[in-house]
Amino acid sequence: MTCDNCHQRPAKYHVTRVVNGERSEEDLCEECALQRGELAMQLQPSAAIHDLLAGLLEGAKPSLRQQEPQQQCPACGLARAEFARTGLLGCEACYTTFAETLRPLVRRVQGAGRHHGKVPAQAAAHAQDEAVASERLPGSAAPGRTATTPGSAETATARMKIGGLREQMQAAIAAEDFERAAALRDRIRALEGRSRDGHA
Amino acid sequence: MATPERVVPGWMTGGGPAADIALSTRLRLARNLAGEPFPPRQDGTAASRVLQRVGAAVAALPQDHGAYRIVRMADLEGPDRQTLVEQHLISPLLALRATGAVALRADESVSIMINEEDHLRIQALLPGLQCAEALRVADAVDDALNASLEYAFSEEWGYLAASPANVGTGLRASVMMHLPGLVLAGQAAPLFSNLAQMGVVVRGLHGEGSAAVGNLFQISNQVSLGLAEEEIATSLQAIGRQVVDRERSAREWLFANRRTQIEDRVARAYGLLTNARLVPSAEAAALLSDLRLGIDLHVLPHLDPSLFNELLVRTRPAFLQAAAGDQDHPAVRDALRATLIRQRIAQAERRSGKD
Ligand SMILES: [Zn+2]
Ligand SMILES: [Zn+2]
Repeated sequence: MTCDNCHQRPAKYHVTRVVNGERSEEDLCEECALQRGELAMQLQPSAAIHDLLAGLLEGAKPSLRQQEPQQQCPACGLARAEFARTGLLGCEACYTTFAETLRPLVRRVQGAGRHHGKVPAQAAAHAQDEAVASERLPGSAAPGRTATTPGSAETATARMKIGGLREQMQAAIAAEDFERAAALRDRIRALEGRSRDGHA
Repeated sequence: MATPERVVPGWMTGGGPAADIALSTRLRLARNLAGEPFPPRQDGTAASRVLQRVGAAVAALPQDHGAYRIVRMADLEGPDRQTLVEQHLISPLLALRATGAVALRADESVSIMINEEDHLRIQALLPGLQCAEALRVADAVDDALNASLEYAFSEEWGYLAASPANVGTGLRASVMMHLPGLVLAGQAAPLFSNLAQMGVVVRGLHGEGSAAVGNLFQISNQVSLGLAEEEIATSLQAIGRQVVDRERSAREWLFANRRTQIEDRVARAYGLLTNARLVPSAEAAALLSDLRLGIDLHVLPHLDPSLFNELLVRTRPAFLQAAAGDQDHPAVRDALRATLIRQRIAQAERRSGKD
């Protein structure tokens, strides 16, 4: 086999990359691999773990796969199948959306299921806000959800929604569609008001 | 304009605890901002917003944190990005991301990667084996940034990362080790498989498994969830210490029992490096490893060990590519590499008064 880059020297390294969710594979000779920094790439232990995760997901028991068929994250739109392909999640709400899939996987990869480390100073201050916000947000928690931080999923989803709306608003402004931009601004304000202090 | 050539991270100067074997310790914390999609699902607008927010937070760091400059990947040429990778200041993944950026502390001991796989990768890079100190440095930056940035966090999963493999503490520590003694004594492979059972990942820096080019290995923790940050750092430090001790005894054994072979190996490497006119990258890595072993074993007592660390980085392809400019071609680079090595060894010898 010859190198995919120079087509001259014999290929020595099989390089698999997952960049922005796109997987690519190449066979490179040493010189080309070094030149492109591909060998330094192997420094990243997480790359191998992504592959492992994706493999575990693809090979998951049918019962596991059926638990969340066709599931999609309401906040960022990540589909379960895409997560299975890349091993990467799209946003904080994904952790709640795919919680049932994630728990056994994380336990296998990490050997543990619960965080025992540092807690950000800011998260503690916001915990109360989130509990309040969850009561006010429309659409109550899905049945059977056993999040340990009640309301955090809904708050996360609301925050992601706000982010998405902001983007749409900026696009509307760029397209000089000010009517739509104003409507989006009002929706953002309404959401922000609710998740922050309850003044809907 | 950024000039990565002038960047000299502390580890390249060759100091620090057990620095004859443990060249550097890197520790990073993965963090994501609340309310923003993770970089793998980010569009251009979301990426610039994150960059702007993190940039403001970095600018707001207290003065005792030192000065930072922010370098955007989009503003750098390929070889300049790769140079930052070769100096271990950024990851190869960041170099590939057009929306990526890095905030570099003036002393190069901290680099904050922005929009890599996670919004933030706070990295401390220190010379020698010092996991606890690296944690202290990264942790202080993390606290200071958290004062103005809210992180995605859950009680169950800890710090939320794009990859479930990084969830929890978001912590990965790696020690770069030069292990020619263990490799030559045939003890590397069995040791590495023992380490794997202790939750430690060993990777060749350039190459695969125990046959890594240049005998350089990266030893890191596999697990980021379920343990406190200090526990991860302390256990990697203890394992690193053991590897250092094993390497030292392997060298002692080799020098006592295979002295002529070792001296011959070092002398050949010295002869080639001071005379060859074309030195390819992989050969340079292998010969420099032998040279460093000779320095450590006092076969070449007149050379300073920091020469090895410096040449290790300066003989990498991107560094030379930047120097070669328009004439860049593998053969040109091999010639430049050979010249650079000859000149630097000659300089070092003049300074130490040999000849
Ligand atoms: Zn090639
Ligand atoms: Zn999501």
